[in-house]
Amino acid sequence: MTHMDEVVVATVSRRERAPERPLDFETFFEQHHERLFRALWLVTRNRHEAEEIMQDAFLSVWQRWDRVAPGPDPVAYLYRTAMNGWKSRVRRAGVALRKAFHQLQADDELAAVEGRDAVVRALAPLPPRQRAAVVLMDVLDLTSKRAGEVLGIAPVTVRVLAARARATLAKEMSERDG
Amino acid sequence: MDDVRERLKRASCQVTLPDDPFGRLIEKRDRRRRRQRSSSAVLAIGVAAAAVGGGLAVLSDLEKEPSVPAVGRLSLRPGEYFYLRIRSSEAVDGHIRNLETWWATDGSGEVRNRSTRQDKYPTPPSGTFGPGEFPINIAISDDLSSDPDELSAQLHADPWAAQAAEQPEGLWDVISHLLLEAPNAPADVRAALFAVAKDVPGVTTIEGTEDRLGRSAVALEFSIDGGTWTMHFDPRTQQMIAWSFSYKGGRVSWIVLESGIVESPGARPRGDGWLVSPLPPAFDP
Repeated sequence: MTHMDEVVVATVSRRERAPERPLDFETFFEQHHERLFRALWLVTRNRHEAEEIMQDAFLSVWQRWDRVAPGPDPVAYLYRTAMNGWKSRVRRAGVALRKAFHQLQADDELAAVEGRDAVVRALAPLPPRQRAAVVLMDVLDLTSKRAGEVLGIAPVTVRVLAARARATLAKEMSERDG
Repeated sequence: MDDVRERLKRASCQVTLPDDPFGRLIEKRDRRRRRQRSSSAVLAIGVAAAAVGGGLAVLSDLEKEPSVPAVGRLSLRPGEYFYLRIRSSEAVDGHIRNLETWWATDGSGEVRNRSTRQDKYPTPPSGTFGPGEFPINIAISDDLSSDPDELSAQLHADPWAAQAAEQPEGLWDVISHLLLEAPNAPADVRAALFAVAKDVPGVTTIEGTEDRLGRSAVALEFSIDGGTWTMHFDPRTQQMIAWSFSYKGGRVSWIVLESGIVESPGARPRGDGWLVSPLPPAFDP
């Protein structure tokens, strides 16, 4: 789909989703925290970081719930808030830490998963934006239009980043599995 | 690539979920409230300091030159249409977007989609559209200012753009998003986006250069994570004429072949209505 297709799909699906939208924040949290946490775990490669970012994102949404809930897409707003939180954390680490970002120690659980799963190991050296793009599109099943809105970048850029990531992952997986 | 997708999904399910996540969220919210209460006194001092800083900023603004387009009228009057003819190559499946749009401030207009893979990419649909029916929708407000300072403030306040716009990389992304995806961001807003993009920290301005079609240009360049984004602008009208992203030898490009202000949908600009000079007849980029 082009970005135009996705706009149409998103507009239609927003219309279709509207009556089902949860009216209370707790229901919204129950419906979406698990997927968000799993995605953030892959993006951050650290469960503590993932939970912190998830909590901050939900708190931000909660504070604005009266405006976010009736909006066009509360889930996309949540994801975008989470991704911005993640990007801010990466940036706050500064240039020196950014360079070392890929060498940050993974948590124990991740290390165990990495030991048996080549795709998780292959995620580690990806540039953060590529990692985020591929997780949003392939784990959360967002279209490039919605992923672009979440990351604040153009859909074409999301597609480029995700395609690069997939190519790298496929290559790494075949080498490591093989 | 489906294998990558499936394996990523399976991998994401291997993490243990936090216990009582909603309870932990409430605890965090309460901790934050307590912290906010205790810092209110500090905030009051900060407000006083900001008032002094605001006065200095006003003085500083008086010294700034107004941002006036070099030539031509960029603002769209009621009943006029902003015309864009773009072409992009995304190289993923060889698809080439070839799109002409005419957009008026009442949301009416026309689309001519001649993209190469109509079977795979049938939208936006070619056709004419009445007020409010133009088939473009972006998350960011469509009431953006043509004043760079006001526009920058709007981007920082917009519910969608604000969080990204706090950082140089995010602000660059938001500007790119508007220039690439919003035919309903008219010429004067595009010129203001150039001014905002130029001042994004980390952006390099290259004067006196050309885009890949050999058109005179000012280029803005921004690099991060091994990728480089380059935007070329017409130096007279500050309209973006080309955008490209390169990464490890790969490249995605997007160009404006023609742009202008016209009096009716389907029309091409005439005289001083051109904002991006027309290409020679039969020129095929």
